[in-house]
Amino acid sequence: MVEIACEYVIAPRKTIRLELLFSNDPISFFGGVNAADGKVADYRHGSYQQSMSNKAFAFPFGKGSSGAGLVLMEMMRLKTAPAAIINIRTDPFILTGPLISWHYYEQILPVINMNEQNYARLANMKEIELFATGTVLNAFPNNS
Amino acid sequence: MYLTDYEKALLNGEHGEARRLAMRVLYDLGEYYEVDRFVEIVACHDDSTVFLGEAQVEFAEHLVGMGARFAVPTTTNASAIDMSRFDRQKHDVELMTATRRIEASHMALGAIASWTCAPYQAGFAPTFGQQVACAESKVITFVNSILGARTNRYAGPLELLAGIAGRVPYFGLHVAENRKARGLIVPGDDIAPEMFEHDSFYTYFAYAFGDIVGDRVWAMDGFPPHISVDNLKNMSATLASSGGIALFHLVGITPEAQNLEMAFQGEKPREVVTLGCKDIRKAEAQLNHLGANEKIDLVTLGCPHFSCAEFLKLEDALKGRKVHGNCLLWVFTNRSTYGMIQDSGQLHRLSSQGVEIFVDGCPLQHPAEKWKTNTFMSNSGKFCNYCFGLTGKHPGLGTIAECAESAVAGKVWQERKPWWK
Repeated sequence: MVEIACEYVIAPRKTIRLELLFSNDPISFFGGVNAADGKVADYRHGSYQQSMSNKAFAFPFGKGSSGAGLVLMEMMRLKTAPAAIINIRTDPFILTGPLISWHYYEQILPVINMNEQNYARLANMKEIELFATGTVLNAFPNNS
Repeated sequence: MYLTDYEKALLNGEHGEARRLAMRVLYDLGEYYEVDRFVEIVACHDDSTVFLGEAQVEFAEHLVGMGARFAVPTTTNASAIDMSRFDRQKHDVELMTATRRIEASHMALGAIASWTCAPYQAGFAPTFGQQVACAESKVITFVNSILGARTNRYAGPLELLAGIAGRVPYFGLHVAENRKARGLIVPGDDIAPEMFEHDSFYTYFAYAFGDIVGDRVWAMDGFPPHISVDNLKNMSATLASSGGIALFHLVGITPEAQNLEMAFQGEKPREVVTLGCKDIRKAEAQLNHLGANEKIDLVTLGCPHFSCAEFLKLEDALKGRKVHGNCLLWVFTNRSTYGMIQDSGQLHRLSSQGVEIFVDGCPLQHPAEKWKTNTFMSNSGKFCNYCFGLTGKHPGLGTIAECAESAVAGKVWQERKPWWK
């Protein structure tokens, strides 16, 4: 287990441990993700055909269409959304869905930021543990 | 964060529940970006219009139920379908119903029925230096880079809240300092002047630019000053899909980047990247997957929505010939342009040649299973970038002239490109 410094943009309500889907490629949720099954649909993306549903989905930053906000909200409605998002930088495209769902549905989708060096340390990790308060997360190289 | 008395009142719910919700979400956004105040906007572009799921419809109807109204002129982006001719497109009634619910709720919020992803070609263009809130990645890029107005990358439905509050946190590209270019991309020595005469060169260059630059602000230099507005439009669309670009400085065109010094606000580029023919070929391989003579089921144009100038180009290229019986040629445009080509007689002529012209809708929302369309071709870098993710099929890319020839032949027709080996 390693402890990695991070910033909780939106923190979970309580401690949660999640499977990690890590990628070095930015993603467009519109056209790049299938909302119906939560799988990556862009064949050029490192996580192509893998599901992000109920996992912590790590991608460096968002790209592409502003449909990202609507797609993420729909994924939250369909329960295919990731259980957490980890970025180096979170632009408003990605933050919109979690932010509005929080105030409107009172549904929390944690968003975590970390610097590039720390982000790279996640590459070989299988699971992560997120906390309701503080400035770290725990990362595990093996499944529990 | 500094708030005016009015903003405090908005946040306290003194101007209604809708404005309180809008301000609450925007305030949190401001906290995340460590913003010290809000800035008023003069216009908003609403991209919560293409149906992507029930969540967005419910949310807009909820806003209407709270009595929300836009505080600034707000234009609507393209919808999923042609609202009057969805049956001609063979779209489901369910998609039509959802779209009409979106229409009704956004009109109730006080939106303008522009229904286009190129609002600046339908009479809605903010001017240099104005603060606006736009959603829709290619509108954002065009508004920032070509018009010189200022917006961040707002996503649906956040832009609805910005329009309702009439303000956004003063951060990112609203602030002059953050608009400074950091890196520079220039054409290499093997990029010959004749290449700039090919419309698809701009698309491939833009794709490579977005791929390299990601979500940063960079400049590009070395382009001729006579680039058409439609090429600028297509470049904006392409680089906003291959990258997370909100602003690119096209030196000599971007209002705040009339020269390199202005683009970099007096500083020097931290990084300079040269793109040669090899990079253009690499971008072409990402977007154009079809070879000469491959059968084509659908040629789709108007991503972004077609302009009057593009309709003229298309008609010239067709030279009076009819679209092949086994191929569809669809064009998407806005209602204003449609009115103008109707008045000019072009609509009648193009229709009699087998061209299907739709308004409001989005080429990316194509009911492929209904038409049994397996092979797609477009002039759009954006369409070709998202095509596989949405349809599972790799498309072909060509200029308007190549698309027209291919539609007439029912199979891919390609010009030889000067950047090919």
